[in-house]
Amino acid sequence: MLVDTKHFGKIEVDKEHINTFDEGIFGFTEYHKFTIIHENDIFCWLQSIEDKDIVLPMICTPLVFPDYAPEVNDEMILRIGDLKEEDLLLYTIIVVPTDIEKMTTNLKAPIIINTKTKKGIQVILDSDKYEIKHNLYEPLKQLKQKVGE
Amino acid sequence: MLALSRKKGEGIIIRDDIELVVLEVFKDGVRIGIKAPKNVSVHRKEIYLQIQEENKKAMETSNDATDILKKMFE
Repeated sequence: MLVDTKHFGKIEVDKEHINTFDEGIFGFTEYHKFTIIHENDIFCWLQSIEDKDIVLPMICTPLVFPDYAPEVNDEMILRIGDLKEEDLLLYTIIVVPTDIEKMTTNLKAPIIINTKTKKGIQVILDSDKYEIKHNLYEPLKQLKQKVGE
Repeated sequence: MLALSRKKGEGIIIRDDIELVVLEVFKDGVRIGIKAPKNVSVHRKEIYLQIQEENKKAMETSNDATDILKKMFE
C-alpha cells in the first residue's frame, strides 16, 4: 500500500511490514499502525501509517548496546503473541537535540516487535537498571570507530 | 477525586477485576499491591509521564539533527 511519510514522501509499504500496536505508544495511544523505515543498519523511523506527522526516530539498540537485556514480564510479552527469539525486533526511541552530543535514547521504555504476529508494544521496564535519557553520542562514536577499523 | 480511608491489609476493588491492597504503611508512604487482568497496564505515574514526554520530544527531532545522524553512519 502507498503510505504518506514525513521524511520520504509517499512510499510503497508491503502489508507484511505494517505492525499493529494495540495500545499505541506512550503519548500517542490513538495511533495503532506503524511501519519501520530504515535509514541504515542503526537508525530507523517508527512511522505511523495513519498520520504522516507521527514519526519517531529509533535505533536498533542491540547493535549499539550489545549487552542491553531488558527484562519484560511474560504477561506483557504475550500481548504481542508468543514471542520467539528469532521473531524479536528490539528498538529504543531517540531524542536528537540540535547539539547532537546531547542525544539520548530511552532504554527504560523499549519498542518490541514480534515479526511473526506483526504486533508491537512499547513497555516500561520495572527495573531501574536503564535510563530514560541514556547518552547515545559516545556509544555511537565508539561504534563508528570500531566499524571504521 | 474519590478519597477512601483504608488500613493496612484493607483493599479497594475497581470494576470487578482490579484490586488494590494496602500492604504496608510507612511514616510518609505506603506500599500498594495491585491485582489486575493481563490487559491492564499499571505504571508509576511520574515514570509514565516522563516516558510520554520523552516520546513527544523524540517526535520533535529536527531534520538537521537527523541529517547529521544519517551521515555519521554512511
